[in-house]
Amino acid sequence: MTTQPEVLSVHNLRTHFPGPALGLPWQGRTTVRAVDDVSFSISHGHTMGLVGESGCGKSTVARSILQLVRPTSGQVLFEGIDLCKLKPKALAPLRKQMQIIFQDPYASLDPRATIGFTIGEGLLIHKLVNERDLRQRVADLMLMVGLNPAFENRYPHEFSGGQRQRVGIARALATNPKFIIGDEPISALDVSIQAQIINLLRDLRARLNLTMLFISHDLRAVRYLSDEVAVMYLGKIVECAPTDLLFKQPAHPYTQALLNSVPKPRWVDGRQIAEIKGEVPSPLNPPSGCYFSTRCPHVMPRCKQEQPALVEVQAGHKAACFLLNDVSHPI
Amino acid sequence: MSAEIDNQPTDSAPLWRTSKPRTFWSDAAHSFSRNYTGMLGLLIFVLLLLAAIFANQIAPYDYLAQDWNNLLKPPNANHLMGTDELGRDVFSRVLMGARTAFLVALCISTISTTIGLFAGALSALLGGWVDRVVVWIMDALLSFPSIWLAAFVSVVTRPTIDSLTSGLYASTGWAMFQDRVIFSYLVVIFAIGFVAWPYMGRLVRSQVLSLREKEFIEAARALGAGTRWVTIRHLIPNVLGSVIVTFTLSFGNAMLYESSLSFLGIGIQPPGASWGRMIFEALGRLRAQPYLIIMPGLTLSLVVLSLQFVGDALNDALNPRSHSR
Repeated sequence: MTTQPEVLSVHNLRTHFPGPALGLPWQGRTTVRAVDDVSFSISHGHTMGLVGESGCGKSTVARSILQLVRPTSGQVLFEGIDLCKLKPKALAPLRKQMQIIFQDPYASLDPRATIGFTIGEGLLIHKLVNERDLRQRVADLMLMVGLNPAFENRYPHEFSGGQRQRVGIARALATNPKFIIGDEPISALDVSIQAQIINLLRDLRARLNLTMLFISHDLRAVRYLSDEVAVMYLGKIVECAPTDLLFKQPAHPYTQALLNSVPKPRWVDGRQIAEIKGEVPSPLNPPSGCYFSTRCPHVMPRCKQEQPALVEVQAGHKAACFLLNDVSHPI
Repeated sequence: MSAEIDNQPTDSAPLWRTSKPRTFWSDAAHSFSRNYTGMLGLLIFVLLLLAAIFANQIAPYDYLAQDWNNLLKPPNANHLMGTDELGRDVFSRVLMGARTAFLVALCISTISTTIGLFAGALSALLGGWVDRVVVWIMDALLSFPSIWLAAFVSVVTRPTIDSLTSGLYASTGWAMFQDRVIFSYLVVIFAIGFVAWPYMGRLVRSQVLSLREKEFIEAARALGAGTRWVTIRHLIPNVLGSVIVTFTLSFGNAMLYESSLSFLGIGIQPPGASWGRMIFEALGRLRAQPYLIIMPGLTLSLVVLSLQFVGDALNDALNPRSHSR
């Protein structure tokens, strides 16, 4: 891995939402800490995988990066520009450089727009092509993602889930973005279609030299596509490492448990790993200390009081767990 | 669906297309034009509308002229729909009744649609206390049986509208503010418009609320679309379908309500011509001269039915899912 300029770097990103009101009006409202102090960066041409259980804040990270949800605090540097500080007007021209592929190929396409319009919408918004070139460009995009350009006048309901996701990919690629977020782009698809879409993403990434943030809870897909992987738990990143390293030597108990939950965990060289128990705590009322302490098999008294910081275990491999500071506790 | 098919066109469409790119609106127009019931409904509606507009030119007699030699004559060559107990030509009266019905219904459905659109959209978009107040008002109005509420409103507001129009007459001197028939139009329009707008308001509010959360709106914003683009390209095409359909149906409903109020004697006042009033006046002659009731009743049914056909066809046309290809 050569050191490439960072396309995206996220520093101390926090996105909090107002939660349900407390009992009495003057007591105010609770806060849902959907994303709490997340930092990472992606170099040019690389793919970062973001994994975690449902509800851990993965999608909110994606929406916060694209400013579809305004973060509460922190920085999102896209090629050195802090997106959080930009007004919507100043942000609009930058949007063509960063795009998102949504999870649900049914809800993310306008049922009353032809797919030709949907794919070309970004080009129209940014006035990138004239009327005549638009059709050519839409046809090229459709061919690129494996759709017949003859279908430009059809509506989303006439397509299968996999075909719709191809429309979603074509729409995201229309403006020639540098950076693409895949927000669980395969989780709503059949297994056979998942493989097609993953391979399509991999081919397109190589062809168009894309930088990607690939969000998924499918560890196999993440391993296949990513150069680096970050593991999220309850709004925080608990471990971040190059893909091979993370899958071979997971440092955090949560990552270990997550890997163990995949059938046939051969890659953890035979060592017995405790399985994950219980439920994810509510982000409305996270536990004190380490957020994973309520479910961690190695929990210590210290875990209930302090929050472990993300520390470097080895070069490029970071994890947030007290066990890692203590050599006497091999995991 | 198997993996191989997914990559391939599902039917034998040519790989290169010759047709022009279509839009939602051109597809909707195409679909409507191929819906024969809808086109028939539209034809009937347009014919009756033209008859109402040119009622003065078409009517063979003055709708108020009394012919004492021809009382209660059944339909014949001189009087296509016969004459009533004052010797007035029923055909001419039905035509003038059509004018009243179309005019009043158009005013009512335009006003109630406009109010409903704004109230519903603002309620959904602003939220908070605006939403609560608007929903509260709409629920309160919807909790009454509409015809009773409309009757109540028409009776209660009559003196207010009366003093308003006489005030306007005093200041402008325009004869239309002195006209008792126009005055009864205003009362009916206000009363029915008052009970009709919450239906549209509720529809628009729920549509906008559900659309706002849709991922394709977020996708458009991620592409860089501003509020105007999202509204014109996504919100309006998705909301307008049901609004147009509801408008069409509310037009027919408004006609029915106007006739009902006139039938009850609190709608259009004589000498104004109204189908409801004509039916009411002929009620005692149901057996001897049924045509006095059948003629206006049939015309009313025909308009409402044609609007139902048009509404149904629009509903299909504005929903790409129901297009047949």
